[in-house]
Amino acid sequence: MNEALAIRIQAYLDGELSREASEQLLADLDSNVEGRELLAALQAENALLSSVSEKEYPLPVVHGYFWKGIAEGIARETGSQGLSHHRPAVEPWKRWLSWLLPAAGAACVALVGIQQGWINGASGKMSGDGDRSKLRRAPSFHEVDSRQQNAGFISFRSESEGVSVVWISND
Amino acid sequence: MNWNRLSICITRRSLSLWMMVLVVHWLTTPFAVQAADLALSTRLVWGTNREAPKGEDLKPVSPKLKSKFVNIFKWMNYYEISNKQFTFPKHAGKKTRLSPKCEIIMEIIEDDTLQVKVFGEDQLQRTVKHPLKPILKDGELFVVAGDDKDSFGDAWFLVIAHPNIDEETEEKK
Repeated sequence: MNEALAIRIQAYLDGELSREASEQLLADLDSNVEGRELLAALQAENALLSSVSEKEYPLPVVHGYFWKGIAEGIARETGSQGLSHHRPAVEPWKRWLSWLLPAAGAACVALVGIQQGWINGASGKMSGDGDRSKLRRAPSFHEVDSRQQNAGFISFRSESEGVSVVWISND
Repeated sequence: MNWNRLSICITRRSLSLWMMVLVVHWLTTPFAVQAADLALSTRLVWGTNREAPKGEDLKPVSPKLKSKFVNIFKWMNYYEISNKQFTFPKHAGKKTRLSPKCEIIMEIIEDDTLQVKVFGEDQLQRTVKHPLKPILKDGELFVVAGDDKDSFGDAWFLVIAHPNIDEETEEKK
């Protein structure tokens, strides 16, 4: 059988041919027995398949989505004002919460730290002939004015003994 | 839910939290700092590795002070040249002679800072400033020190502290 004719028959069955092309095909099949048999066989096959194919059932709608769908439908009908009205109200809340809580926590920790002397304090102590690894300078702890030029001094703090020292050299 | 109302409510809660932090800070500030009068003790101490010279009546420093100094400085013996305790109004200066050669003027300047002017042989040698608040804590010492010009290898220490530092030690014992 003509392969082009078979393709046209299949297209006809699939509903892909135009009305004129369908009429032309049926006219051609009047004089073609083999073509008519093929058309009949394919139609019978389609009928058989349609009778055993799975039926389509709609999925059940979840309760929340059901109401959400209604709300979205209302929002669509009233324009996008509904959604745009809510968003700015939510964002400031999140912004406040996101920085205020950490800031308040950090302020409390810093306050307690300053109160207990953890921030300015140092845990080391200087012993004997100068254990430099244990000696720490007390930052901005002392100010020294001297009338003598070239006069040196060091300041340090032993946190373990609770002693702040300003050592003035005679050089 | 009214989100605007909620955000205002949270803002109020944050302000309340800050107020609470300030109140806690105020409550934990030592009351001594807020007092009008200031009580302090000053000691002039000589540090050496030698024994006390014979004929001189030198008193060793208290065990508590010695234990602190031994853990910090290299000298083993510490003798008290003078020990004075006094109370003075916070914003009035206090002039004290600690030895024939050493005199100091203590003054509270702005922000509760203790300013100590050290005079040697009636000449201003140093002006030292230190926050007052740590000095008023129990067991805290502020020490101005230097090498002893008259005795090689030795040192002098000007110890400024709370007046009851030695009494507290005895109570703990």
